[in-house]
Amino acid sequence: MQFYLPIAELSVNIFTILGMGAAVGFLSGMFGVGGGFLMTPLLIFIGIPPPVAVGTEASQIAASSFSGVLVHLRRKSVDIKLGTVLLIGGVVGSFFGIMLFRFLRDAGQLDLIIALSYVIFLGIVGSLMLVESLRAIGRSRKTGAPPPLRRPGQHLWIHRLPFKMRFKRSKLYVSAVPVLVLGALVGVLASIMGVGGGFIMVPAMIYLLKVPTNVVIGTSLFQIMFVTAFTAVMQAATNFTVDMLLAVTLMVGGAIGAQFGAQMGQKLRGEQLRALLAILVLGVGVRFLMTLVIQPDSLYSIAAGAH
Amino acid sequence: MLSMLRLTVITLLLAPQLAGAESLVSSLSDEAIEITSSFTGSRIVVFGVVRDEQETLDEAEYEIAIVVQGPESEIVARRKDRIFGLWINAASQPFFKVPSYYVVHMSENFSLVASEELVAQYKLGLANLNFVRSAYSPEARGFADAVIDIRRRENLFAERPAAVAFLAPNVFRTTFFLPAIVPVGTYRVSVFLFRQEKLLAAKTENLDIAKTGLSDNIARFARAQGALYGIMTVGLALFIGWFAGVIFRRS
Repeated sequence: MQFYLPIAELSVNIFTILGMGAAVGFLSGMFGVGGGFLMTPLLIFIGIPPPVAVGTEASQIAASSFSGVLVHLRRKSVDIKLGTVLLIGGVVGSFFGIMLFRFLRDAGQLDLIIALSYVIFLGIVGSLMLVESLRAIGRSRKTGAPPPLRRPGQHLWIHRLPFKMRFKRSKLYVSAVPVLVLGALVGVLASIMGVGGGFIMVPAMIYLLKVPTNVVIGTSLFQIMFVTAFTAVMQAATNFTVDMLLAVTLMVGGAIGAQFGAQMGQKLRGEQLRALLAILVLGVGVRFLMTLVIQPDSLYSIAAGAH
Repeated sequence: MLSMLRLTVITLLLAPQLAGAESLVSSLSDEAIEITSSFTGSRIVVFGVVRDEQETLDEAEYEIAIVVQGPESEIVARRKDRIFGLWINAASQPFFKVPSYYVVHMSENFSLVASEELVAQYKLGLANLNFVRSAYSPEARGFADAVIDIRRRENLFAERPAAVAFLAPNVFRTTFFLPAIVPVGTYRVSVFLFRQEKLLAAKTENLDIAKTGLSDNIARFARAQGALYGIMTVGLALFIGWFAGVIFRRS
């Protein structure tokens, strides 16, 4: 059944979109990731204009992370104070990201920067994850037991920065500067790449800020939910790139897919899951690199006038 | 789901006004086309009768050219070049007053005999569009040709030299196809009647193309009230997120 997307200005099959939502929801449920870094590229690859894919996906991430936040709030595994400082940084980052988005679009370079960001971030994160998970698989083959997560005990330069704040829930006494910077970085990524930024946020919280692992996921979801919600509103207000029909269809598909994915995830081992996810992440990065390197069918394109 | 809308433009050619005994009075049976959410394309049927008041039954045939033109806008054309191994938008060229839709249908006899001067005088055909004519440099010309090429592939621009058929020597008919991506606005339907290099009559009618249904209401609201639209989308997102969570817990 075809339906017309009002902002993407494209006729699509409703079952294609529902299916994509379900497939990405399944993977994000299985791997415990937000899925923005899979969904935005998928939307671009089926022909949704990249700016609309990025703007719309922010609203879908707000929906899926809200489900997650509610669960973590019940379990009391959210550090609301830490999340709030992160989110102040995130809102500022998102605001500048939206301005950058608009500037790049007028300059005709937005699609390029979106693709390059994916190539760089997914390339780095995918490679690191693949190496780490293959090592873990190798070790567990030898010893037969899953290895513990390594957490170095020594203090980093980050812990010598000024403006220290106390975060009781995380049992942390740390400078507000790196927290704000991390939040801002994730805010920029949300507005330029249409991702939640969990793939940066979670490792940075664990390894740089030394947040206890039991509050990391809940707190990062808390920040991602607010920042993507803010980003979606800003994108809608300034760039007109949020497609409500597309977003709602993706959310419905995603909610269904996530249920089955979570059940599947419990059957696989952690390091195997991470290796699979790493391969997926690298694959998406390579696909973007191909669009930049291979000569396009048509060198010319048309955009609406600047005024 | 195919929603084909048909519009018949009945063009009656009568009452002497110009040089010859023939001239145009035309009427649109419908003055608007509405496009719904499941729109896959629509058609405009132009149908006309030439009535010769003075009954000067000339042995020469009538020649017809019909233009459908959409609203004009400013655009930027860009060209990718290879920079550091990547295909990146490099050169660009702005164009003003580019029609969003421009299709000309001619009767076969007109396209065979009409001189270039005549075609240029009445701005018939893609080569005579203002933005193409104003592109003087070879560089600008290359961009203009690329714009025509892109719009042709989207079925927004076309020249069809034998698309107007005569059902009788004085009755003609042609059908324009509007693809799903046509922009909304006021379109102009112009009918030109020639005989042997001479314009006998011409008539232009306006045609409003609007989009209706859920998709268009959303698009209009998103444009007019961007912030409110964004807040509503996020509200809907949070509701769906909460609702999914409720279903989760029960199962």
